[in-house]
Formats: sequence, structure tokens, C-alpha cells
Amino acid sequence: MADRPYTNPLDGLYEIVGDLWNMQKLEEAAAKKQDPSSSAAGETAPAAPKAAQVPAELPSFDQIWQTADETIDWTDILSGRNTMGLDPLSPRWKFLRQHAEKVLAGSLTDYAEVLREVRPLDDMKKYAHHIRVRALSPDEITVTYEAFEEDAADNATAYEHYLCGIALRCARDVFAVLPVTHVQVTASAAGKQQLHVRFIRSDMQKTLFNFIDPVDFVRDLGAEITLDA
Amino acid sequence: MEPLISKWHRELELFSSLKPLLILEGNVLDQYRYPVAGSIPEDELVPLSRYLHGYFSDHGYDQIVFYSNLIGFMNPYQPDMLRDYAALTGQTVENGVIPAEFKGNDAKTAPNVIRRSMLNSKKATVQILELASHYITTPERMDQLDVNSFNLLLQAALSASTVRTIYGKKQNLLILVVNKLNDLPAWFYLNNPICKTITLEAPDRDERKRLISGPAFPTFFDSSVYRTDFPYYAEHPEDLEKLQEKFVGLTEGMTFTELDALRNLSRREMTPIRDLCTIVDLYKYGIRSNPWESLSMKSLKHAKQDLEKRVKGQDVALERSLDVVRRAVTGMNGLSSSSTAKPKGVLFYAGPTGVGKTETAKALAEKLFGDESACIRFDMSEFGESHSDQKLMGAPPGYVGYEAGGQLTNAVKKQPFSILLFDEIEKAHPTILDKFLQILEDGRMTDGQGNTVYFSECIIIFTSNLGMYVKDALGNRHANVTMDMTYPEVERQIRSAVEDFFKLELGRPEILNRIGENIVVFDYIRQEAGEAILDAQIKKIIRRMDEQKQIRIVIPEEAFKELHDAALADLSNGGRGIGNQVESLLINPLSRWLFEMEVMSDRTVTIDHFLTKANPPAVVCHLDEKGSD
Repeated sequence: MADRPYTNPLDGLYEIVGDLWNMQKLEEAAAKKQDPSSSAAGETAPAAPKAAQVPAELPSFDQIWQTADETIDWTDILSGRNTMGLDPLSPRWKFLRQHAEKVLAGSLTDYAEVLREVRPLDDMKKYAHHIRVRALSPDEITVTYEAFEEDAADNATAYEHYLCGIALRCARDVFAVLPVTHVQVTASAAGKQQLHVRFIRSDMQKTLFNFIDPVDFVRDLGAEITLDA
Repeated sequence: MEPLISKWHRELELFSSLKPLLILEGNVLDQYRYPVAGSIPEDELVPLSRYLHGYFSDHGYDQIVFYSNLIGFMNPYQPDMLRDYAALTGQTVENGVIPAEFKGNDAKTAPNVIRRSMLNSKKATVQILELASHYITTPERMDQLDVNSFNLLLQAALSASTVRTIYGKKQNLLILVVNKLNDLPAWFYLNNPICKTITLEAPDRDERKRLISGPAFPTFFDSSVYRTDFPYYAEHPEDLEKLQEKFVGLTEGMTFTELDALRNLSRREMTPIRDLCTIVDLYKYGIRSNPWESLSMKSLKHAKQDLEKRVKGQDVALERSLDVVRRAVTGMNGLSSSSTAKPKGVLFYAGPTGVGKTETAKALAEKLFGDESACIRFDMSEFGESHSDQKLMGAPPGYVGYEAGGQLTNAVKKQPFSILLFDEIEKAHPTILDKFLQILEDGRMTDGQGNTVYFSECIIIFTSNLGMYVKDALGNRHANVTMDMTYPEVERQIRSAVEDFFKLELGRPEILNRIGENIVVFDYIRQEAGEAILDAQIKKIIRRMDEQKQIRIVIPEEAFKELHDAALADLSNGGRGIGNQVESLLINPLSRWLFEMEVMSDRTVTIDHFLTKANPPAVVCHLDEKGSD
């Protein structure tokens, strides 16, 4: 989990959509993002949601699904147990303490606040574009992203690996920061859906990610994978 | 929530201002709950060293240092304190520690350094000697240098200065942390007015309750589980309280470290709040589904009929045994006691030999756990020596057989859900009975290797022939009960003899108290039960001969009466006696006859007569013509 200042939640290409009941705020956030003056220095405004302008090849994402962001133990935070080793006077600790009760009560507004603050998928932006996170219910989060197009990969197998690896990592990062039971991930490229999969928290809990093949894992969950090849 | 302060914390508070030498002993390797907010958050579980550091820094001590004979002086929590301490005592810090041997006459040895710091009146200093049990091999084998070292510590404590601080006057302190007090030389602490020993215990009921019902409660659950499950319990606090009470009962005797392990296990397993208590089974026994909870009331309703198929003529004994099982299944065992960690039930079977005591235990095991092998039998006549407890519980470290562990502890570790049958308990050495006291009271036992074994899922059955014979004033044995007596008379006589054995002969009424009203007296095998046993045994023999050898045995009514009268003539040896008679009057003569007639298979044999008075007994038989049957 990146430790960034709380005051600049929407820099770069990142885009978070929070709960459905809070769309106005999100639209404002999107408008703010469109405004070049609000972007971090040196960053360009995001492209319209379409297939990403692909570099010659896929960025290296070796074993990206094997790691994940640090878990936020909301029950610990609610009880005042600082197991994350944060400075008790730090803004991050105060923020987490402030939201713990409502997050554990399933408040979608607080989910959105946490996503804006923690930005769990921020480190994924070099692998995919227009990553959107949406809280459908206290139980479920959806993640959508625009993947690189298939011809960026050496072959269909590598591309499948890429799609599934990113999806798995996105799900792990979301599970790490919010107490949801399910994460749905949908990947598209060039306007076509390439992958749709629903991850279940309890299945992920005991998985040894060092030893899995992301494609097999995602397929075992009943994923729909549609490739052109 | 009101702060909950443990007894040892209060003692520390009191005596750290009164005595310069404190010895902390007991459960010192555990973690402890810090009771009041300070440099450590309230209710946080921390190791003892951090606890002491937090406590003394909160109370205004300037310097807190820890000493280990393997490392030297250190302070992992506040290294600047160590630098000040080095300056004060004229030492140098190397790689974060002040190296110092415990033993020796050098001025740089730890006792000399400690003495200098205790004398200082500028900085209020606490020196904590960790794992002080291991500075010497044993107190009995100390050489002069060891004695000198402890003597210097004693002198250091005697000459402790008082320091003025902004929090008031503070006395320099020396604290020794030991596993057992007798790891230290007795002259160091006995009759020592400047020394106070503080015993650290495993968390009591209140501490455990605090952990599971206080603000720490959510920490036992994965965040998603808590979010999903807690709304129900927020609306039904009475259900939550019941759950927490049960957890508190089940965790009796556990350390804070174990409770913390339960917490981590529960989170990792994503245990739902309603299944909180299953995590205790998972931790103790490695399984989540408790066979006791999966027993159906329906199957137990017919348990008596099932048991009667194996044990004849013991109506009262079976009923009383099943009472104990019903108590266990309905969760009513231990309701009269504060402990829920006790065994599920305790039974003391007494009565004549061969009447079905062991068979009842095996039948119960099959009924409860689906397998007769869940009845683990110990012949206590093998444990008649005073050192036999090592066979049961395991030898202590350094002794032959240490690695093997104990027979009892190993068996229970392997099969925690079982019936433990201690046959002929009166033949065990009295020191072994002491071990049973702990098992019956606390439901746990620590083996020679230091592993705790739990008996809380077992039924413990003792069997005994006590009360069958009594000694008169001349020491001659004579029968205390006879077959002429009615069952109530037999029961009264045997019960009274069992009570006399524990109270008068052994002088251990406390063992009897643990058994309570669970002495079950088995009746003699009476005529009707004897007939049923004989009938069952004959049928079994006929069936097996047919199945295994295809030899069909026919016993006409007249011949059967001869066998019946001879086999049931003396019922004083019980069912086993009937079995012996069947072997002598039927099996041996019949096999002799079959051997002589070279009948090996596929024939029909009719036994015309049993020559029961012959020596050896014989049978008169004839073979039916082949094919005619």
C-alpha cells in the first residue's frame, strides 16, 4: 500500500469510483482530474477510455500476483491495536481509526473514502488503464480496467497470463483494504470484454500465491476469458 | 471499561517502592496484558520485558536495563537509556549492548556493574535480570565464583540508594525473573527482608473474559467476518454473552500466548462469530468438529438397548453410565463446578469380576465415537511402583525414555476424544492417584516434555474389584458380598467398601470427592442374565462355524439343557465364567471330536449329549449323511 499524503487523492491516471450513493462526489473528482491544473506536475491528463496506447510489448509484470498490499486489519484498528506499526500520531492512523467503525458497519461512503485515501490499485496503473473501483454493496467490490491489447503480448498464452495475473493482484489488493467478501474483476481491451471473474475472499485466504498459476486459479473460479486468438 | 489490574501488577506497584530486590517467578515466558494506558496502550498483550519497561518508564524511572548472561546489558525499547547507564557505571556500549559476564571477580562482571548502579543517587535505575534461572547449573552445585556473584547481587540490593525524581523519591531496583524460585540459591531469598517474590500466574477468568468481551473482542475475527456477523450479536447481546462465557470456560488454564494464538488462528481460519469456541478445539486437538457435538439425541435415545446387546443383566449400571453421557451431551456436566475444562465424565465401576465392566466401557466407546478402539485401556496393575507415573506421564528431561513421552499423555494427544479406562485402579501406586487428582480437577496434564495434554473431551472410567472381599481383624480375607444378596445390598456393601478404601486405607478422601456420586456398582450375573449370555455365546459359535468352515452344528433341546445346567451351575465368576464353561464343555470337546473324525468342512454335526462330568468333558455327536442336510 503506497503511503501518500491524504490531500491529493486523484493524481495521475488513477480513478476511483466509490459507492453508488455518492456519485456526485465522484463526478466532481473526475472533473477535477480532467483539469490539468489539478494534476500532479509532469503528468498528462488521462486519455478517454479506450484501448490503451500500447507500447511495443507488455510491461514486465513478473509474478505480480504473488504479492499484495499490506492488509488493513479493521478489527484491530477498531480495538486500537496498532498491528500495522503506524505512528499513533500519524494522519494515516487517525484516518483509519476514524473510519474503522463505519467500514466494519459496511458503510459504502466510508469504503469510498478509504479507497480514495489508500488507493490500493495505484501501483497497477502501468499495467492497465482506467482502473475503476466500484462498491456495489458492503459485500462486493467491482474492479474494471482497460488492458493492453492482445497483440502487445508475444502470444495468446502470455496475454492470458497477463490478464489473469493483473486481475488476481487487483482482487488481492482490494481484499487487503476492505472487509468485503467478493471482488468482481472485468478487463476489456479495444472495447471488448476479455475477462470477467468473481473472487471469493475465503478462497483467497489460504491460497499460497507463490505456487499457483494465475490462469489456472482464475479459470477454477469459473472466469469468462475471451481472447481473439 | 474499568481497568482490570492483576494481582501481580498490584504487588509490583506496592513492593517496587518498598523493597529493592524483587523476584518474579512462575509464568514468566508468557505475554501479559498491560492494564492501564501509558507508554503501552491499555489491554495490549506484550512480553514481560516490554511490560516491565513500560511500567517503570511510566512511573518515572530514569534508567531501565535488562541483563542476560549470554548477551550482557541491553535496552531494546529505549537504547538511549543504555548509553546513560554505561556512562553512569563506567562501561562502554558495543553493538547496542554492554557485554558483561555474570561470573567472576572482575570489576566489569554484571554483579559489580549492578552494585555500582544501585549505589548511585542521581538516576533512578531498574535492572532486570532476565532468565536468571539459567545463570548457574543448579543451586546445589554452585562453585565459589557463583556464590560470590549472587552475594554481590545481594549486597547491591542491600545498598540500594534512593533517588529524587520529578515523580518523587524512587528506590533503585534489582529484579530477577526466574521460572522457578528454587532455581536460585535458597539463602538468596529465604528470610530476606529486602526481597519480595511475586508469582505470575496464567490468566484467570476475569482476564480471559476481559480479552474476549472487552474492546479486544473484534480482534478475534477477520474483518469481513466481523462485518457480516456482528450486526446480529449487536441486536442479541445475550447470545454474545453466552458465547463469550463458553469461550472463557473452555480456555481455562491457557496462557496469554495461547489466547493470542487462538486469536490469530480464528482470524486466519475466518471463523464465524458463532463458531468462536470451535477454534479452541482446533487449537487443542487439531480438529474443528467436536464428536460430542455431532452426537445425535436420537441415537442416544436407543443407547441403552444397544448396550444391552453387549452387556447383560446390568440395568442399573448401564442407566447410570448413560446418565453421565447424557450430561456430557447436553452440556450439563460441570454445571456444579466453576471449571468447564474437566473431563466430560468420570465413572468408577465396581463389582464382581466378569460382570461386564470393561465391556460396558468398550460398548460406550463404540456408541459415542463409532469405534471400540476409542476406549483406551490401562492395566493399572502395571503401575504399582512409585516411579510408574513416568510411564504414564513421561520421564523428565535427562532421564531414560524422555523422548518417548508418557503412555497416557501420548494416547490422549493421539485420541483426545476417547474413553480412558483404568482397569483395577486399586492396584496403582498411590502417587499415581495424585496425578489423577489434577486430571479430574483441571482436565489437563503436562507431560515430561512440557506439552499440555487436555482431558476435557474424555470420559474417564476406573474399574475396581474393591469391596468384593474385606479383611477381618486378623488380616484374613473373606467375602464381603455374595450371590445370595439382592442388588441393593450388594451395591450398599461395595460402595461402603470403596469409600472406606479411599478414606481409611489410602487416607485420600479428596480422590473420592472427585469421583462424586459416580460410583457404579455392577450386579452379579443372575440366572436370567446368565441364560442370555450363554444363549448369545452358543449362537455366536454356531454362526462362526457355519461362516468359516461351513460346519453346521445342531444342538437339540435335550442336549442343550445338559450344557445349560453345567455352564450356569456357578455364576459367581460372571459372564467370563460362563465363557470359560462354554470353552471347557463345548468348544474343546467338539474340536477334539471334529479332529478325530477328520471333519474339516461342509458337514452337519448334531451334538446328542454333553458329558459334563467326564474328565476331560466330552461330547457325543453324530454326522448327518452328506447331502442329507
